[in-house]
Amino acid sequence: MAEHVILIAGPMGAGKTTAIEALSEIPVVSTEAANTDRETADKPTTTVALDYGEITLDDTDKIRLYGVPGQRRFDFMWRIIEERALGLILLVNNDAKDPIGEATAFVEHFGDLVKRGGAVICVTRTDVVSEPSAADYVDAIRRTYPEIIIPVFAMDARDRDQMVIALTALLINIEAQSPLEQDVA
Amino acid sequence: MTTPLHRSAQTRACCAEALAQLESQCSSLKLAVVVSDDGFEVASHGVFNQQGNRLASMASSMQALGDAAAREMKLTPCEYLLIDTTDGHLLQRRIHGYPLVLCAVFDHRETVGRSLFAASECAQTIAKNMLQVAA
Repeated sequence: MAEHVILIAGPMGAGKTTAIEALSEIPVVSTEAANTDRETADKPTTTVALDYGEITLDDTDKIRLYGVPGQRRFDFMWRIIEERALGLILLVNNDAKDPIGEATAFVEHFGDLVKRGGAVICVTRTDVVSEPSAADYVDAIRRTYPEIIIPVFAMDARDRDQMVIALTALLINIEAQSPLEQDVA
Repeated sequence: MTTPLHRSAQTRACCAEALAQLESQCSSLKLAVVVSDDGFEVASHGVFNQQGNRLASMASSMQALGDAAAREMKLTPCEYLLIDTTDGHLLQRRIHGYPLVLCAVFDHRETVGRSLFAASECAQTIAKNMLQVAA
């Protein structure tokens, strides 16, 4: 069976763990610790190593979902997973102080993966803060990286159907660049 | 809101005292750091510049992965972790009763058994010091 690694990244509190829990068909392997940095994200726990989930596509293909911590002090985990990944789902919470700045910074950090594989941006918490719009993200990414095309969706990370749409868009994006079979041979 | 352990002067002092004691007992100790479960440095010994913050983040991730692996195997939470190399070894020990982990690096002169014993004693000292502070 061919196995494809998808990296799920984004700032702390964007909904990465929630998204993997929504998508995975197995119980998610999580590495949560009590969160003492409540100023950055007011939530009781935070991922400190990775989240892991799986989706079986068909008889021959399986997606392995790896979520990484949002804090930059854990960026060694970003590199470990990035090396194996085919594509990136970037989650950004729209109620962050500078969500577009966060999005462009993550795209820059994962630039190699975005160029060799593909990426989608899922903007979460748009029900809390409606601006910037998805179009604003597209414009900002295009201004900074005119050579890269990244689809942007407003998403509820808890909603499996919405997350499946994002994942499907990413897989199409990856396939458009290079057939999966060749990438993972 | 309670003060996070890594910002508590009393907690930092408790841990620093225990690390100094560990250093006095083990000449092979290269560096040691006490970290919060979410990867913040609480106290350190023999650590320079940003090395402590880096080690704190990595120790937190390794401990969480150890706990996750134990959980997957239906085992109790991870008590200690060992990374052994020809130059020495890195040992992590959970501090019972607190969301804290001791991470210590010993050079090749120390046996694993001896460093595990010393790290366990240090972890117990930290827990005891913390209890005294709370009392």
